[in-house]
Order: sequence, then C-alpha cells, then structure tokens
Amino acid sequence: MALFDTEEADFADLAIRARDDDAGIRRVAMLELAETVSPEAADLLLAGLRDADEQVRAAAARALEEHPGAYLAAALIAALDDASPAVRQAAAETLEARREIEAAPLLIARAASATGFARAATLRALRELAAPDAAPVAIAALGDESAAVRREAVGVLGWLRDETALPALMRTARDDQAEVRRATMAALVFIRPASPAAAALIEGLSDREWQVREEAAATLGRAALPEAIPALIAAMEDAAWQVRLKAAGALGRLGARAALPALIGALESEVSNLRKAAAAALGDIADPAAYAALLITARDPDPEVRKTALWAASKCQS
Amino acid sequence: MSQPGTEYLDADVLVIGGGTGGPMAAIRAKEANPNLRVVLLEKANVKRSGAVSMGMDGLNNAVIPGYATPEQYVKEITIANDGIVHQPALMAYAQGSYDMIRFLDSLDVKFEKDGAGDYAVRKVHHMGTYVLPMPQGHHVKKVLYRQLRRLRIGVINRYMATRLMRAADGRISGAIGVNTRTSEFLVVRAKTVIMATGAAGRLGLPSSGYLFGTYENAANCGDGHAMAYHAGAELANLECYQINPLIKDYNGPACAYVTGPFGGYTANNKGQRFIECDYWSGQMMLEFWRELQSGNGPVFLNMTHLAPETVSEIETILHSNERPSRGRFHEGRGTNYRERMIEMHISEIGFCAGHSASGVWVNEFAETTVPGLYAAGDMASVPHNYMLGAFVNGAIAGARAASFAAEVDLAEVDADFLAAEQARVLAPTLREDGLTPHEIEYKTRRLVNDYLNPPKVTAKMRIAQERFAEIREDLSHMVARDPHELLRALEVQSILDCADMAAAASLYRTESRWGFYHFRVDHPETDNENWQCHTMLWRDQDGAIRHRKRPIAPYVVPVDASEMTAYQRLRIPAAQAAE
Amino acid sequence: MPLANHDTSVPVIVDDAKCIAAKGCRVCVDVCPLDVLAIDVTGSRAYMKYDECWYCMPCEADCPTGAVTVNIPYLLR
Repeated sequence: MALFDTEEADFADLAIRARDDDAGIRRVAMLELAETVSPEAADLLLAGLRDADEQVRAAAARALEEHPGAYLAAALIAALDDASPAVRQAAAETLEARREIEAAPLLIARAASATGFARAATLRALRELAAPDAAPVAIAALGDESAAVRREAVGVLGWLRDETALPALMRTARDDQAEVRRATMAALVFIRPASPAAAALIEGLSDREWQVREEAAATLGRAALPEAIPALIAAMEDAAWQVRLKAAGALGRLGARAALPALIGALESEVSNLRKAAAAALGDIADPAAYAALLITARDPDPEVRKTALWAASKCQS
Repeated sequence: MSQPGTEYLDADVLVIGGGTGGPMAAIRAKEANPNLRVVLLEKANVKRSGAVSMGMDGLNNAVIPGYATPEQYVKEITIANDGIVHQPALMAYAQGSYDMIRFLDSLDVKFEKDGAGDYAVRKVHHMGTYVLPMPQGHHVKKVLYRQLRRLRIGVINRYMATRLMRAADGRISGAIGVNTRTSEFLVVRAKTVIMATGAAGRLGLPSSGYLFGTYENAANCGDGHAMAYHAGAELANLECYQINPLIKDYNGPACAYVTGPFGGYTANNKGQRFIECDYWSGQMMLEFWRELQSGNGPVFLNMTHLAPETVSEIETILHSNERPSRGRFHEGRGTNYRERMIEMHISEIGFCAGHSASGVWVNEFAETTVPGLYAAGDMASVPHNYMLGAFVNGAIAGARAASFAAEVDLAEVDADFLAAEQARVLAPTLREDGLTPHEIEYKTRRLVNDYLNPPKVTAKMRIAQERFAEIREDLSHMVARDPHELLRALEVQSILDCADMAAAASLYRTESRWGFYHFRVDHPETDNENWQCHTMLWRDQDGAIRHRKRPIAPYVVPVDASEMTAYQRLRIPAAQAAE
Repeated sequence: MPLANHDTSVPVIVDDAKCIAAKGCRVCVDVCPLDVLAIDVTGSRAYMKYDECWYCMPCEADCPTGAVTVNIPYLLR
C-alpha cells in the first residue's frame, strides 16, 4: 500500500514526465516534485528553473519551497532576475518562505541587485533570518531609490535590534514615503528609555499621516518610554481616534499619572472603543483620583465600556 | 482470513484524522521514537483536510509568558465553563501552549510579530491577554504536510475509519477503514490508536437548508464520536452543545477575534453593543439569542465606524484565511463592511470541544477510558481548545501513545468482528433501490433542529428519540450506488449516533447550565448541588446508552466563589446601570 | 422504492480552456475535503460531480492555472 502519493516507485515515471516534450506535462511534473524530498527531485526542479516555458519555471520555483539546501537558494536568487514576472514573484515568495539561515550569505551578497524588485525580495527574505551580517547592506539600502526597498531594509534592522542602525533609522523616520515612516515607527520598538531615537518616535506622533501617528503611539506603548509621556498626552487631542486610542493604551502602560485629566476627558468621547481604552488605561494607572469619573462611566450605554470602567474603578479603589 | 478487497497493515501508532491534532500527534509520536511505524489515516487528503483546511487567522487562547500565566488561563476557562472542567487537562494545555507556539513558529507557521520580531499579542478585553493574530496563517496545512513527509510518517488518504477494534483483554487493537473511492477495506492492526476526527459538525441543519453549509468543515460529521461510542469509550458533557455566532446564511465566522483588535464589534439593530460576557461561551450565546428574540434583533457585525484603510486590512485577513469565500459571499450580496453592518445569526448545533466542552472523555494525558485509545482536538473533551489546543493535546497524545506502544504487542484481528463490520459497511451497496443517504441525512438533521435545539424541552427531546429510532429502522433500506455514496451512507450513521447521544445527554442533565448550550426550559435553574459534575455517556454490552455522573477532579488552581461570579458582577444591564 | 434524479446547480465552476487535467493534473480533485470533484470520462477536464460543497476553496487556491472558481451555493447566496 502506497503511504504517500509520490513514492519512490513512481519517481522514474515522474522524472520522465519532467523532461516531456509537452510543457503542460512538465509543469504538472514540477507540481508533483514538491512532494518528493530527495536530491534527485531537487535536481529536476533546478533544471525546471531553466525551462524554456515560464509556467514550468514558475512551478519549479514554487516547488522548491519544499526542498532545503543553499545551492537551491542560489538558483532562486538568480531567478529573481528572470524575464517573466510570474517566475520572479514565485522565486521571491519561495525565498522568503524557506527561512534558511544557510542562505543568508548568498542573500547578503545579492542585496545590491540591479532591479528594485530583486533588492526588496532579498531584504524581505533576510528579515526573519535576523543574520547580524545583514546590517551593513540593510543600512546601505535605507538610502535606496525605491521606497519598497527602503521599507524592507527597515524591517531587517528592526529584527536585528541593531543600535548602530539607529542614526540611519532616525533618517528614515522622516522618509518622504509614509510606508517607510510607518515601518520605521514599528521597527523602533526595541529602543530603550533615554535612547536618542525616542525623539524620532515622539516626532512620529505629529506625522501628517494618521497611520504613522498610530504606529508611533503603539510603539511607544510597547517600548514604554517615559520621556514620551508629554507627547502622548498631547496625542490625546489627535484628530484621529485611532491615534488617541493607542496613546491611551501607552499612557496606561506607562502608569502616567500626568495623563489623568486627558484620559478622564476621553471617557466622554463619542467613540466607544476610545472610552473603553481610556477606562482601561485609568485602571492600569490605578489612581484614586480617577475613581469618581470611572463610576460615572460605569453607567455607560455600552456594555464593554461599563465592564472596563467597573474593573478600572475597582483598581483605583484598592 | 483475507477476503477480496481487503488489505492489512500493521502499525505501532495509528492516528485517525489528518486535520490539526492528528498530524501533530503523528509528528510527536515519530519524534519520540523514530523506529515506530506511525500511520496517519485520513478520510480526505491530509494536504487540505479538517477545520483549518485554509489556515487560521489567529490564536484565541495563546498562553504566552509576560501576557498570561497558565494559572490565570485555567481559572478563566473554569469560570467560562461554569466550573465543569477537568482542570489538570486545562493546565496541561496551558503549560504546553507557549512551547507549541514556538515549535509551530520553527516549522514556519506565521504568527504576527512586531517590528523587532516579538509576538504581537493583543489584549481584547480586560481579563486575560490571549489573542495572537495570524494574518498570514493560511499555510498551516502546508507546514504540517511538509513535516509529515520529512519524518516519513505513513499517510493513507481517502480511507474512512469505520470501527475501532479491541483485543480480548479490552485494550485497543486497531481500526477498520474503507476507501472512499473504491470501497476496498483496510484493516490496520495497531498497538495504540489516536483519534482526531474533529467536531461532530454535521449534526444540526444550517438554516439555509444546505446540508454541507455547516459551520464546521462538513467532512467532520462525528465519525470519531460514533467510533469511540461503539468501542465502549465514555463521552463527556455532550449536552454542552457548540453553537456559534456567524455571518447569516454564509454560516461562517465573521470573526470577532479578528475584527475586535481593530475596533469592530457585534451590535444590535440600533448599532449598540449588547454582549456583556467577555469570553466566547454559552452565556455569550444566550445573550446573542435573547437579542435575536427581542425587538433589538437582528444582530450585526459593525465595522462602519472604522477607517477605510483599517477595513481593507481586515478584509485582507478575512478573505485569505480560514474561510476565504466570505469575501465572495459579501461581493455577491453587494455588502461592504465600510458601508453596512453584516447580519449575523446563530449556527446549527454540534459537538465541538474547540469552542465549548463536549466530546470523548480524555484526561490530562489525552487518554480515553479505553486502554491504548487516545483522543485530541475538537472531538476530545478538553474545553475551549481551539486550534492551538488541538496541537498541544495532539502532541500530548502522540508522546503518550509512543511510550504505550513500546510496552504492548499487536493483537490478533477478531475475524467475526471484522466480518460483521464488513457486512454492515457494505449493506447499502447490496440494494438496488431504497432510501438515499442524502434524504436520510436531511431528515435526521431537520429533526435535530426541530426537537434538540435550545431552548431544550423535555417533551420535544422525547419525540426526537422516537423519530430517531424510526430512522434507525430505515437504515436497513438505505442504498449506496457508488463508493462516494457509500461514504455518505456511513457518515449518516455517525450523524444518527450523535443525534441519539445529543438527545440522551440533554435529557440526563436535569438542570440548566452553560448559558444557551444547555438551556432546559423544564429545569431553568443551575443546580450545583446535584449537577456540579461531568456527565458521562457510553454504550453498554446490549447496545443501550448509559449515563453516570463523574465527580470533578480537585482543582489545581483554586477558584473562589466570588471569582466564579466575577462575570456576573461586571455584567450590569443598561437599565439597572442607568438608575 | 425506485429512485428519482434530482438536478441542481453546482457551485464550483472549471474553465475548460485553462484546466490542464489532460496533462495529468489532479490538484483540485486531490485536495477537496468532501471529494466532490472528478475528472470527466475523456480525462480532459475537472468538474464538480456532487453538489456537496463547503465552499472552502482549496480547489481554487491550489489550482496551478486559475481554472477553478468557487461560487457560494445558491441556497446561501
């Protein structure tokens, strides 16, 4: 009884089909080669990457996700420059999905490829590998002409938690593209209190795009930087409730007593999610001065707000 | 002994069900002892079978250091499940939760991480912090399949297990399966068996009337529940149904756990939130049902207040994970989250420990009451399991089964038992005409809706039992004209077994508990004096359903009375609060 | 009890021009959890044989040529 759909007995037939004259048959063979984990299967896929038919090449690139080995990663990196966009995309996604640390030096060596697509793809594949040797190429890529490349480079440096990259990241915090600024706000989550880079996050609270401001507020909450408290209190006046909501959470996490008036004020917001976040933050701060206001909010029409306010009031009492 | 069309296979560990918990059980058994013959039997194809066929959009019950402790989790589930829990099993899950997340991560399952690569755990309400989104969680099955291949675990697709085999000394000795495309038999002699066949999700009939438009993957029809029952294993708390809030007609999750962190919420027709309960539970479903009954229904998922960019982000997640066809459903209706609230409804009933608490009884070692038989995932009795619970408990079952297999020998196949089972399986193929599996299934499930849905009424459930008995007689007229129809014919027998068990279990517990899940009109109060216990159901030697009470094991995490009522104290209805 | 035939629309549609079943592809038939897809007698195309669809979409997502479309069953639409 065959325990897998593609057992060794079938491999000979599969190898013949992988070399068939009909491109459609070769393409189907590539799909099936994903399920046969052996060096012979990988060799057939390598040949498939050089097939004349682009659909065969794309199928081979996708099937290689199932086959480990740095020599295969090298072939996929080469395929990032394939003439066919479908093949390039397949190779990029496969390289990212493989998460193969052995491939890091190869990716680093190709991070200055000719096309923006290939540069972004190599950096994206490098991010989760968190290979320290990737820092220099990522820092260099922060000045790339393509915003997609700069964003991926920011991602690599965040995962590396590389303090030497902070001066460069403070520059991308002022990038002219919002996606790069937002990525930078997220990447700065690893900084510690009193870091000069905190200024970049605080400045991010005044960004012209609300999503960048929201990301900055969220990161300040996660990183818990006390020097950001005044700016976060100011952010409680932001035009976007999403920013106010994240600022409230950050202030709660920081235990910022100075924020009591702003948070108590937010208990009267028209946005119920914000009232709930403000009540939760007041519960985290647990200052008796908020007790009376929370008792009023405990009669809010929204049950989520009521429950959170009651919980918070109990925190302020004890 | 062998007859035409019957193959034999020996295994140390046989896993039945290749969805979520099953593959993990096989992986862990093989890792524990690479010399073991581990065989995974799957009714469909392991590549895309089970509840997470298209992946999952997040973990609802991640116990991650720094965000929640195992003790806190055990306490919350104890409260959410009205105290009826086997805490040692909850604790085993909670303690294994973080290691499993990291293991899955190492296998390339994608969890949401922040800008520096830490898990982006979300706080959804003020109780615990357990939500870890998986915006790119659609590769779960690919990852599991890859690992099965790398470990060279034997996978047998398109075989449906029909009955478990027991040795003369009572321990499990294997299973009988039938090919869903050829009707050939496979007899697997095994030292241990792990069942992971998922929920009994094809029990109630969805309100659309479409038999396969169920909340659960429609392949999950209670085969494991029925097999365990026929093998004499005990099943626990079956009256604690699964009922879920879903997108109306589409009948899939919306899903509040995805939209919640972005600010989306469930609202009534006035656009106001009404759910008081924090945790997905029978209490929450009672509040949902009451709102539907009141003048404030229908109930909606509201995202109209969110920024268009945020809604786009949510759509990317909802339309590429778990149930991606919900995007196509909304497209067809012309509904857009940005402009209109999405109408919600409640699902048909089922058995699913993943969301509630009923299933084949297992202890903290994933052991059933039959020696050598293990169960994990939606079919086993560990409450509020979800996907991560299926993985953790599957892993526990795999490791335990690997050591059990080292201590026992294969048992001989009981030829009479095998012959009788083959005759049962093939009976519908010997008829030229009669009743089709489709119509028998429709009628059974329509009666489940008519008579077993809560609010549960004693007189109605008794009628259900009479009608189910009539259908059981009709089975002798069922016809199957090809192997595919035989598959459905076998499934409808599992469904009927589950329907009988649902009725019997609901009648046995003469109180109301778990909110809407076991809301008995004739016994509206919770009776802690008599029913603060598990209810166990099994099949006796004569084929009759038997029941007993099982005392709750001493709590490993004490929960005092004031904590048990913590939810109630925070639940202040608007009218009362406004005084 | 003689049996009647009962016609119904099917939710899963296969574009014959794109389907490469003739080249040996069986992906959609392989992955369907409910085993409702099949290859027609000529061996040239996949089709939905049984109206027992959970509209779960592996057949569409895994089809290498984009030939498969999963529609929502009419009763739910």
